[in-house]
Amino acid sequence: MLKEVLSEVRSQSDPILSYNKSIKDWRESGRSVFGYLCTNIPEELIYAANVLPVRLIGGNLELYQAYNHLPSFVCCFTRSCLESALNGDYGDLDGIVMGYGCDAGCLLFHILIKNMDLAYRFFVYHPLNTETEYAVRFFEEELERFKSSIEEFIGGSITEELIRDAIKVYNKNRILLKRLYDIRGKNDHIILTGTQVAELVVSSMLMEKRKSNRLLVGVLESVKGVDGIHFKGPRIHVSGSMLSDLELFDLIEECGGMVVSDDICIGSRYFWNLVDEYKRPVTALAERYLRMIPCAGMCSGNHLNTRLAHIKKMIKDYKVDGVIFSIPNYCDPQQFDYPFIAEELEKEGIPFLAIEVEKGLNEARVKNKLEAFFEILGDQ
Amino acid sequence: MVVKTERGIKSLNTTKEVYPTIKRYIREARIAKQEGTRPISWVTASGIQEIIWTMDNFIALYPENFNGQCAAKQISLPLMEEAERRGLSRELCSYARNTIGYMYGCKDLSLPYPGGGLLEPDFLLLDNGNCTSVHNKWWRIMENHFRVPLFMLDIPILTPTRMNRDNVERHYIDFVISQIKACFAFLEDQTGSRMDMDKFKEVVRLSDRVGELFDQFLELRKAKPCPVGGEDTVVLPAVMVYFTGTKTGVDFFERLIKETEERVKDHEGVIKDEKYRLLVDNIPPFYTLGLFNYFQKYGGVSVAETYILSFNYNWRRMDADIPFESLARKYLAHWYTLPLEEHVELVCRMVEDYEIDGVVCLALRSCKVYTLHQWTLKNALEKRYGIPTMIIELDMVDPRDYSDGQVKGRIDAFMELLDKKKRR
Repeated sequence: MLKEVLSEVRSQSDPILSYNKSIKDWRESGRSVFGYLCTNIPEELIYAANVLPVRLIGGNLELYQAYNHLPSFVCCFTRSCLESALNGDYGDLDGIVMGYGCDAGCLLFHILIKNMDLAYRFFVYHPLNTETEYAVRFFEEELERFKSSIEEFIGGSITEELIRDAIKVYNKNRILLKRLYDIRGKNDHIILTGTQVAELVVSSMLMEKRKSNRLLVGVLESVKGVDGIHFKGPRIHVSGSMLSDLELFDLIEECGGMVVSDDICIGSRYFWNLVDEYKRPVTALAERYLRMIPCAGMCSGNHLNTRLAHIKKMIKDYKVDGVIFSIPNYCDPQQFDYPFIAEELEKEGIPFLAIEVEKGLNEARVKNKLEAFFEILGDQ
Repeated sequence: MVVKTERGIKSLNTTKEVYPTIKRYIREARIAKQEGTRPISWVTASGIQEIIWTMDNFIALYPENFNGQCAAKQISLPLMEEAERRGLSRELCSYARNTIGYMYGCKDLSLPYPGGGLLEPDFLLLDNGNCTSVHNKWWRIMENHFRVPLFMLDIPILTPTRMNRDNVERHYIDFVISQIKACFAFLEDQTGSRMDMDKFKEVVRLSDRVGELFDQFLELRKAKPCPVGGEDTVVLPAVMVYFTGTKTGVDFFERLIKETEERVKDHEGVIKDEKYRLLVDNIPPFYTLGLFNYFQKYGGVSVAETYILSFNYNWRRMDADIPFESLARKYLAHWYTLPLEEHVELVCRMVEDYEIDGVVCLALRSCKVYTLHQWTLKNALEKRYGIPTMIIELDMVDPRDYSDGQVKGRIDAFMELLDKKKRR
């Protein structure tokens, strides 16, 4: 039964947007679709306007046109998103939304809006020093502007009630994904694999949320009472930011390991924090998206400690044996954070390995590193 | 590793004053530190001098300026290698690697540091206005190492499609004003003395005067032949960084204008036979500033540089009677972080105003924020004006990313192209 549900999920959430069935269905009823470029965008505001938000994640593409606009020294995510846009894969999008997270992402937004025919474009500045009171005030106002601009686009108003409903739907999605993480990570038996759970998180970004919730409930139903297979291999936490596909997860499994937790943008960072349903909705969204598990792009005084605390909590809750950092080449924020988080893990005696991420991992090299790492973990 | 390097040969006497003036400043800082009279702060060279000179009871040192000087003295490499040993990727900002390497290893490496070395900070000031993402990380690493207080001004970029420098949304200005006020409160805590509103206004007035003079200087460079080339102007940001908001800064630019005016009056150009007027985009390679002179071999003169604009607020004049509002608008208008469209339009306007024949973009692999626009710029310039635009990869500080023969070979070919185009 699990197989059937997963197959249904896959058929609904193709990361190549021109093949994505959910988008097609949504558009057939005359509704709009926005692509968004960073986890720090409050999708709830888009969803409340009856517009479908989908995450742009790029992919392992051959690059033909992107280099006309970009140098080779930007990350593979940026390059592949641009290539997808230029080769027409984003043709069904009515709009693109971006929140500040890094310089390369910022440039990507500029180039996309210059080269795509879009009815809607919006950029949200997400403060980097997230912990000050004035950052919350500013971000709240920024989200009010965002809301007004969507209202202008749809020619109607987004009432507080609509936002509250959207928040409920999104919170439900977060709770369901967290349950999947617990099933995967808190058991010694494999009921759901690392890749399966990761795929479900990604799918929730690529389809309508109510539909995603129904399918996730289906997945949970299908694994009820399943014992799974006892797993003796190394349990891995993947740390990082954006991955355009799950190749790394696959390779970890091929080498005998299993991803049981992560702090990446298409993983736990996406859903970990709930939105307060009792506060004024825009205030609650501003607080949630400012104070979520920070990505490497953020830089408050407690940034590294907050990131580290989240990683350590996951290591404990999901009984992790080792951490794998996935660091895209040319990713300034990740490269700055890495040595300091690694040093702290070392102090605690937690083994770790850094993998450089490029378009299409160098399979032989990565496998070689993983096998050596897993051997060390096995000896401990 | 020592790269083949050439010093820039300057035309003006005023620009030759810059390094001695800064040396004096550093010497005074050393005395103040020894006597314990004023605390030391390491400050981002993003342009918050008005806050610094209003307080005027601590000494601001600028690691970026120090990094440029280390590169000029050819001592950057061991410092950067020290940072890389500590786990920082070689792909990261070479300025950051230079300072962080110095921070960890200055004593052990024992190199001939400029000014005798950077004095250890008592607190840190961070403003990310002209370097949105890297300054933050770099300063936080120093905070972590020195365990001293840090104040951060988080300056938003002007978001594309919604804003430009004339149309800034109110909450952006309020956000920055809140932070300027909080920064003063932080400095009052650190230094034990109060911020004086009258002095603040005076500093803003002087800062604005520096901006005004700088604009006048840029106007003079539009003359044919161009009176001052890039080999002279690359030192001006140091004056802007250290002395904007002071009488020293105003006096310097008045002297600079006077000397430049005389040259314009006498039709005295950088070289005798100016054939090609060039625009150079991005931070120059500090270890070989003589590259600017190299164009002269072909009758080329760098008549406009985007780098020197990044330290000057030249959009609208500031009103010293509303200093918070004026400063907020200035801090939001750093032109390297402007929306791409506006940035490209500004360079296009420079191309027209300075009657540019060719554009040289220095692509800095380690400085993405200042570099990533260059491909869009190149496409726009070639499409709109048919102006040859060359992108050369090198680095401002890391000599490993520079190949003298290769870079000059490309310049040779580029200048030939300009020549063919002109003769057509």
